[in-house]
Formats: sequence, C-alpha cells, structure tokens
Amino acid sequence: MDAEQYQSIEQQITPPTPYLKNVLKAFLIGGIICTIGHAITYFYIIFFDFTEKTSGNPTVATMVLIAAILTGLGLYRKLGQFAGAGSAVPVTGFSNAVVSAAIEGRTEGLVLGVGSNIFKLAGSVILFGVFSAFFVALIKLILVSVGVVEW
Amino acid sequence: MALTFFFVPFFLVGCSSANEQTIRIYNESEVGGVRADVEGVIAETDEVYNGIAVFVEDELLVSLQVKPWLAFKKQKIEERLQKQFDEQYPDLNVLVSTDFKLYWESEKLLEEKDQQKVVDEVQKLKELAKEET
Repeated sequence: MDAEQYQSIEQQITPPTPYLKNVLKAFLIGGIICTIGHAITYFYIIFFDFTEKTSGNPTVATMVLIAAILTGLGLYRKLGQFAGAGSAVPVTGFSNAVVSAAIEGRTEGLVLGVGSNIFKLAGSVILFGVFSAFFVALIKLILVSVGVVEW
Repeated sequence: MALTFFFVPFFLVGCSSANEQTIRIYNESEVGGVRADVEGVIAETDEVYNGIAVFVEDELLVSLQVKPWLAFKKQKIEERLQKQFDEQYPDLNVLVSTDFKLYWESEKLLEEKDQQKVVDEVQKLKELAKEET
C-alpha cells in the first residue's frame, strides 16, 4: 500500500467532523460563561463600590477562582469535552490551564513539580499577552506623539 | 427545533418598549429654570434611553444609560454633554457619566428626602467615578 492509497482509505474511515455542532456548542457554553461573568460584574457594581470601569478586576478574579475550583473537582474537564473552544477561550480556560498543569506536576514535588509546571501551558499566554500589549502601547504612543489620535 | 422555540422569547423581549426615553430629575437646587434645560438636552441625545439628573446645592450629577448597540460611543457622548453642561452652568460642579454604577445610585437618590445625605452621596459618587483601578 502506498501513501496515496493509505490516505484515501483513512479519509473514508474517519468520521466527518461535526463543525456546525461544535460551533453551536462552543457558542452556547461560551455565551453562558460570559453571561455568568456579566452577572458577577453587576453583582460587584450593585453591592460594592465598583464602577463599570473598575469592576473588571474582581470579576476576572472571581471567574478564575470558580474555574480553578471546578478544575480541582474534575468538572471543568467534562465541560471542556462538551464545549471545546467555548470553555477554553474565556478567562476560565486560562485558569483551567494553570490549575490542571499544577495538579499534573504535584507528584514531582512542590518546587520542581508544581513550581516548574504551573505555567507550562499558560506561560505562552502570559508571554505573548505582555509582548503584544507592549507593542500596542508603543504604536499608540507613536500615534499620539505624531498627533493622529488622542489618549 | 425545540431549542429554537426556547430562544424565541428572548429575541421577542428585545422588541418591547423600544423607543421610550425616561428622564427623571431630582431638584433641590436654588438655580431656577435649569431643570427644563437639562431635560431638553438629554431628550435631544438620541443615543440615550434613560437619564437621571440630580441637582443639589452646587452639584449636578447627570447619569445616562446609552443604548446597548451604541455603547461604543459612550465616551464621546460623555465628553460632548460634559462640555455642553460645563458651558451652560459655569457655577455648578457638573459630572456627566454613562456608568451603570452612577445610574443605579442616582436612582436611589431620587427617593431620598434628606438633602445633606444626597450631597454626601453625590460627592462620593464623583470620587468613585475618578477611580481607574
């Protein structure tokens, strides 16, 4: 059997990916996660002294905490299997990446295990997040100093 | 199919009370005639669907709710109205805000009878609006 034959057989056997279904699931679950986030935002605005501008930070912290607890209980994995990108793209997915990596490294000890593994997945998010934020700010600074836009 | 019908009410909710604009004013200030002016200015702003103006002593707090689809214009509306009110009432401390927190708290102030409390609350809200983090 040559490579071409193998490929055609492989394509016949592989079940088709249900793109539309996956997209719908991700849309629904992602939307529900964001709705919960928004409800928490309003909770902080109404019951505490936070404005729309300042309520983002406690909201993110709360969502990260909830997702970390769910990951620890093994429930976020089930959600991730069902929703795919819908559960990975919001900040809860980031929390899941951190906590699951930490749990994975637990057997190797606190320093070399948890310490070195905790940002195994999330490290690149942080690196490129900081990197792109720096460049966006730099571009804006240049535009402001040239006089194209205002702060 | 059942799922589609499940979502129909949510879409229909958006159709109700579409074009109503409510403007409420708390007026304990000595300055006469300003009430109608503020009401007129808010009514002319099409992007706004709810507005509350609190006049107390020399403070004026205008909190607005911008239509959800036009939320990206919030800052521009704020700046425009702030400038307009500043020119209109140079002797008042004016703050125009589209923040939900300020709207929510001003709504409570409408019922408040104790004027000193309102002054304190308005000053507190103005401090809060300045906070960045």
